[in-house]
Amino acid sequence: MKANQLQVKQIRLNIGGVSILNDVSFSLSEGDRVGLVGPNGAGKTSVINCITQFEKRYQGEVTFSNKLLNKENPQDLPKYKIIRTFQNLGLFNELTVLENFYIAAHQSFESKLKNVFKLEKEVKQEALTLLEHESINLHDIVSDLSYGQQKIVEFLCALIQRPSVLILDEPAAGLNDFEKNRMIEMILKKQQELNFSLLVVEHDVNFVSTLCQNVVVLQSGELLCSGSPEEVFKRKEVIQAWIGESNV
Amino acid sequence: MSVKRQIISWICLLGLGLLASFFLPPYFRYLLGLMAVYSLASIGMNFLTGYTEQISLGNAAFFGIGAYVFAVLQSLQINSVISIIAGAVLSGIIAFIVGFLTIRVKDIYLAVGTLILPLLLLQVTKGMDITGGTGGLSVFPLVEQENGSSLEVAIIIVITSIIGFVSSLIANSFIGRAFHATRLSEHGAVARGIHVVKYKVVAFVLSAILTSISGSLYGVVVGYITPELFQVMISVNFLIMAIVGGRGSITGSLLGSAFVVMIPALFNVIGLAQWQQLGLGIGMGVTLLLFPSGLVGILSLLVKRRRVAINESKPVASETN
Repeated sequence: MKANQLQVKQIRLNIGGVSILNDVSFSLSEGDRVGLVGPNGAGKTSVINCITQFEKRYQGEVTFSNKLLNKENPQDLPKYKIIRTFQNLGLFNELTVLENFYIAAHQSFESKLKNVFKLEKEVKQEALTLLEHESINLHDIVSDLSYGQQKIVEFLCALIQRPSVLILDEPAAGLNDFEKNRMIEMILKKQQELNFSLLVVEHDVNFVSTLCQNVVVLQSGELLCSGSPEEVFKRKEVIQAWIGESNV
Repeated sequence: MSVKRQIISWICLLGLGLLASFFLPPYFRYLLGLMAVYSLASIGMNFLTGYTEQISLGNAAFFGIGAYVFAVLQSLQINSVISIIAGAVLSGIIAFIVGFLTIRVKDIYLAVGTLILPLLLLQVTKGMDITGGTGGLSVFPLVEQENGSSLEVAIIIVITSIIGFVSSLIANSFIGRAFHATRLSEHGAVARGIHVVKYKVVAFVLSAILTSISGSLYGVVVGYITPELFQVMISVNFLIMAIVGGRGSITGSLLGSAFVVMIPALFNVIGLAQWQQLGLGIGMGVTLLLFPSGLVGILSLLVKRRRVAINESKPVASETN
């Protein structure tokens, strides 16, 4: 049995008297691919904001390899190799793809002050390898790329941070079916190569079913159920949560 | 930009500056000295406003501190280099404190907050004997010889080129990239492990140091300093240099300082000195209307066109990677 790597224990989040999350608990083991799903407003992004400490007003515990993360600052999470992406892209649009890769490797630059030029060469080489088979030039300005290409760049920038746990916030949003399939292929390939655990927040049931081994379903800030995608997406309460009781 | 290209660019600029300092007539040599001096303040303002989007109207304080510390220490027979460094260190320390205190204040509130320091120093310098009161202080030339102004401007150009080159290295390093990241997406920067508060304070301190050195050298070029150096318009001028030149660009900072010095001088030369400020205003308006990203936008446009032309001439397969 694999050891739990990331544990979320009884997370509660109240903002202005409104309950956003209520007793949400789940865990992620090494090499897992878990989907965090639910309808709009279910609290999915709030959960990952709590995990990555962007949201500090929560109660409960977030641990990584038994180390409590509650008191850490969000900029310290990359130290633990917990890396996240954003629903609305966390790229730096005015900069080139290469500069975005350099920024993704920022902590390596800070810790290896003496070898910055060598490190720049290494990051550039790694970026070139990651972009192999992509029609993206390292010197392209990010805002000149298509939305699908920007999603790919954000994912690859996250990889250059060598994640142990990679949290993707809606990686399929705004992509067409072809791009979604490519994204799934790419994520699976890179996960196999780099062996990270994956937590994916996503609306798209097909995307999650193909990509993830397990899903955690949230509704109105509460954990509705969890299990394999085949099992979970057949459940009546999940279908009700997704499309409404009157449509079932 | 690669380090090699930066070295070549700065050596070319230094060479041109040195040539000009020896061959230009006195008035234009004086303007060249001013441009060199202001370029440091412009780079300083750009680190703050252009790179990390912190608007400061208080940089005149550091300009004045640099000028006054230099002039006072010079009158005490202390070595010029030590005097410049002393002003820079004092400015850096004050900027660290101010930067830390104002870190939670943003935009126009930060601009107004930073005004306190120059207003305070304006009153202090007016009232103190050591600073020469409202009459200010004389600053002696760096080179005590007849016709030494060429050599003096040359020395200033060497100093500003070295500091400009170091600034350029910083701007193109992980520090400059962290500044950009902080400005473009704070959340994105934090997710990459960038300590946003730390880098904002670093930008503030760096800006103060460069502005202070600029102030010290300004005294040398002009020959005297007055409390007017702490006026808000001085900070506004630095802001104009950074914005008109091009936000987030060292090249833009140099172009911005040339713009602010040369446009009024041009009006002066053609005998329309009374229209200088109007000319500067119209020039700013036209530049920002045609090139919202500043004068450096003209260069970027040319580079982009050239890149597109090169890409179009290549076969499709070689476009990638």
